[in-house]
Amino acid sequence: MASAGSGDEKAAAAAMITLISSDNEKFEVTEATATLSQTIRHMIEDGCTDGGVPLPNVTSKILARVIEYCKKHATAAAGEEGSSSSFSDAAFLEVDRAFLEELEEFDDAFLEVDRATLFDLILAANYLDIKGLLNLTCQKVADSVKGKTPEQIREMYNIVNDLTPEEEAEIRRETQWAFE
Amino acid sequence: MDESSSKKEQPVASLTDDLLLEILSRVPYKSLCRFRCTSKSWLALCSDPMVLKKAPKTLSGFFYRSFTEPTYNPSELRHHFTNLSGRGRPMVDPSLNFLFSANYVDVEFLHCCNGLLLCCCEKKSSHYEVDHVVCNPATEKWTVLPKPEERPGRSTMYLGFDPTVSSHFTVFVLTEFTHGMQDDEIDEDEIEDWYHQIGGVEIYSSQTGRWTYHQSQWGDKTVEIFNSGIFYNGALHVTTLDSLVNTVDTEGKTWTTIPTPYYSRFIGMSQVTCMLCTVAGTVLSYQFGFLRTMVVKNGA
Repeated sequence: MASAGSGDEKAAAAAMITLISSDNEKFEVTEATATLSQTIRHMIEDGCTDGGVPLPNVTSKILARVIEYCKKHATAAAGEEGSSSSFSDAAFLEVDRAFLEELEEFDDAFLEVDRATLFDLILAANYLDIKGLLNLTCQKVADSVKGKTPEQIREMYNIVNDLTPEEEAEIRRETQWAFE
Repeated sequence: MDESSSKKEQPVASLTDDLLLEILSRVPYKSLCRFRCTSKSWLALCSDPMVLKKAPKTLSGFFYRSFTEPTYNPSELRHHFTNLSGRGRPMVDPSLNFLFSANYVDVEFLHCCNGLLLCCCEKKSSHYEVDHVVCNPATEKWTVLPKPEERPGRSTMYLGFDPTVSSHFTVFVLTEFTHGMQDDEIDEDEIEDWYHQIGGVEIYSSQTGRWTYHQSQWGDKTVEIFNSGIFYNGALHVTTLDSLVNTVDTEGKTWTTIPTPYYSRFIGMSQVTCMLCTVAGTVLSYQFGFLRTMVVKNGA
């Protein structure tokens, strides 16, 4: 069951990958965890992960969070594969549902961070190409503007209003209902 | 550098436009409208096709007319707009006064599509004369369509407009098959032979400002169901008496026919999934579910 592209010796060594953050901290993770990132998956396939994978765009603080996410979701992915063969089993479905609920709770707790961290997570998810994490974090930001007035949105994101009062009035008039 | 001091306060500046679009394409439509008026750069981002494409096309309400019984009197016709929520004052001014102040004496709604209205406006004149007008009731901008070539028989007009694809609109005029209409005397028994049979379509593009005529490729016996049509996926979809959904694109080049299991009186859009649905009598949910599958297949 050696993964394609990597040599036999490497597969034997439990396929651990070392990730190196921008501030030079080393993180040892399993290949299953690391390959949630498409960027790292491609590096592994190209066989260029010897001596660790430097990630100059990601700080150790953020990388630790990202790895936490990947570990949890890698287990989830493995669980899904295992259950698909016996999905007719009602007991198995019950276990599955419990696990999905747990995953949801994990995601909710995972997102309890300040805005700056959230944006850093988005940048990391984008750079490492982790679809699930990008989805999750972008949705969190999107949800945070729900019900906010334009003034509140400007304040939240420090947006400087460079529209003239006339322009702004015109734009508001186009979709007046959205401001009531 | 002052960059470091502002970085903490302005984390949003660190995100690329691509990532901001990812976020904007997930915000509720109402919030998107509010984002638009925060600044010039956000206005530009919010107008990105990727964002608009993912934004739900939210239905905000209904236009309709009423008159006072018992006597039908055109001067008593009132225009109304009721918000989808059923509450509050109308989101747009339903009086369409901008058309009446342009010397029209009556305005009849023909069709609407994604915020634009197609109206038949009667001119102030000693003899009956109408203009066909496409207007945006929210901005009160409007335009008069040039007259399509006169063809005998009944015609039905439909409006096609998809702001996520183009800022131009299309008007379709389905004209009925005219066989047998040369005779002044029409035999009542023969009406079924020609009535509503579609001969072709006149298509107006606001981009070219011209009408073009295209012969129907739906087959000789196509009988359209009065006024039940929508613009979806860049094509006009109409229901027909022989249990079909027929489509024609904005160029009059692609004509398709989708069989359905039952005679369907209506065709409409669902705001949530932007899919088609038809209703036949009381079998709403069954038809609804079936057509969902069918249309997805055809759209692929």
